[in-house]
Amino acid sequence: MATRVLMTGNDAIGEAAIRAGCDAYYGYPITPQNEITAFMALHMPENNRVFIQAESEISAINMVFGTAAAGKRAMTSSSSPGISLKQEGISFLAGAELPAVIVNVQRGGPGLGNIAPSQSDYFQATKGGGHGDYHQIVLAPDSVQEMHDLTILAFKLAGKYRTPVMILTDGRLGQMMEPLILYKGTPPPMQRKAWAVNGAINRKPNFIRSLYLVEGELETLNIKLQKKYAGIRQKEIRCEKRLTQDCEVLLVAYGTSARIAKGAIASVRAAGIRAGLLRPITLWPFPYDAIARIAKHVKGVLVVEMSSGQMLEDVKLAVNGHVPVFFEGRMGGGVPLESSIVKKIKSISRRKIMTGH
Amino acid sequence: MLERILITGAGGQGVILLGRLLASSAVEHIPHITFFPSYGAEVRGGTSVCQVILSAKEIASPLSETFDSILVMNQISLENVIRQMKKNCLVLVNSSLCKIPPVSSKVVSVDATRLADNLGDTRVANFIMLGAYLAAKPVVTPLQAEKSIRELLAGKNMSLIELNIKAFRTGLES
Repeated sequence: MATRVLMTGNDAIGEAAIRAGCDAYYGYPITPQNEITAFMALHMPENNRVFIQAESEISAINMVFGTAAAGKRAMTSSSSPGISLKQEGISFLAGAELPAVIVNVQRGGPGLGNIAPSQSDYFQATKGGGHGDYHQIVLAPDSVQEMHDLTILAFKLAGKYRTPVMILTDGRLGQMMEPLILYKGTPPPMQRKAWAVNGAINRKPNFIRSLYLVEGELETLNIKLQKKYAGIRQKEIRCEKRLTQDCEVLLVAYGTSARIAKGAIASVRAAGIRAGLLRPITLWPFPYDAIARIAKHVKGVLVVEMSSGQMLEDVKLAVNGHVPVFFEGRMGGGVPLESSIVKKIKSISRRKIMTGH
Repeated sequence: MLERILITGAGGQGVILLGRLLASSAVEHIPHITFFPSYGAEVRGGTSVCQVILSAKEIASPLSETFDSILVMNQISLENVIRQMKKNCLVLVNSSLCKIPPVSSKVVSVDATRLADNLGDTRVANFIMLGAYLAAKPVVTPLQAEKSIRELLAGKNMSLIELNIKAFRTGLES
């Protein structure tokens, strides 16, 4: 077995970025993601990479834009209020079709909120927090190991699709330590980027922009983007299914909430109640079909989130009225308790189903 | 196995380091481990808390509501967690700075800060507590703990590493 090391989730992201070949990191401090910035400040220069503490979050995301435009791998990280500030930059990255990795270690909101873990930026992350018809790929780890592995994946997907990729996690996963196995592979090879603005020697100058004033040009770009998004929806949906084969109650949860849901499922299974979990790993693209298939044979679906019910809307779209969808959530930095999830599962499992329709 | 440990004391007493050390000592042979620190707008002189969970099975949440062991380094922290001290819980108190709590738990008193002072550095009281804890509950071997101390303090001067090892052994034998 490979050697395990003990790390915080935040450090595991930083370590993964370096191993994925991140050329430049730009950050601005905010709790609970500061360990990423501190880690990169220490280790990027050691690896002859670029580290800059920007003067603001807006500056950091635009430095990412510049680096990506030059054909290099770039990352920035922040927590909820800081991620709000980056939204304009993310929209520009999407419009200019530039690869980038953005990490959101979510904290309680709205406003400056607090520093406790939260999942209330789901809408912002998955529905396009900036303006325009765009999507970013959104990855949601539920362990320190996945914080690491999904960061590697984020760089791969960003490069493959020339699109911003967000890692959507929270303060609890960022702060906690767990053992993990580090990525040993080489950074994915850098394809020749014919589009990059990296010195027009023996070629025509390239031009990277998201401004298209000539009539029809912007619509053409949007059609191209939507085609790309359709391809991502087809190929990149990822989810974990646990005990969903025979389940009568289906839980849907991601990140920290999924961890707690797993605890609740183990405890009700021991009492003979057949609960299962579908954990979206990609929040965009969302595993609508996988949920719909399982929902066909359950008494009810329970969504668990650290929000007022944001992913809940996507689960309802997936279930499409076939069975009732229930919700268990906490807001403002609160984390759902295993005991309250267990209670909800039990009440759903007692539901009588009408048969013969 | 399942061992849920709560460690608390004053900021500066090495509570977080103690928890991290315990967690890293277990990496090689305990399948599931979580360490969770209190983080946030803490101030100098405030209370510091962390939780370590060591488990054969997957850990759902790194924050537990019940504990198998509680290590307390000072009186204010003790008062904050006294209600968690249930019957089946092992409680280790730094008796140099705490009164023995009137609880139904098994209480082990460790004169950690005084022993640390005798070794010449009040700051090593945390590793004396670690030694005493592992003597009472050998969840990891002394050898593993000492290896972790050396790894964690790698790069510091040798006399500091040896002092911490000595503190750990003092606790183990106390």
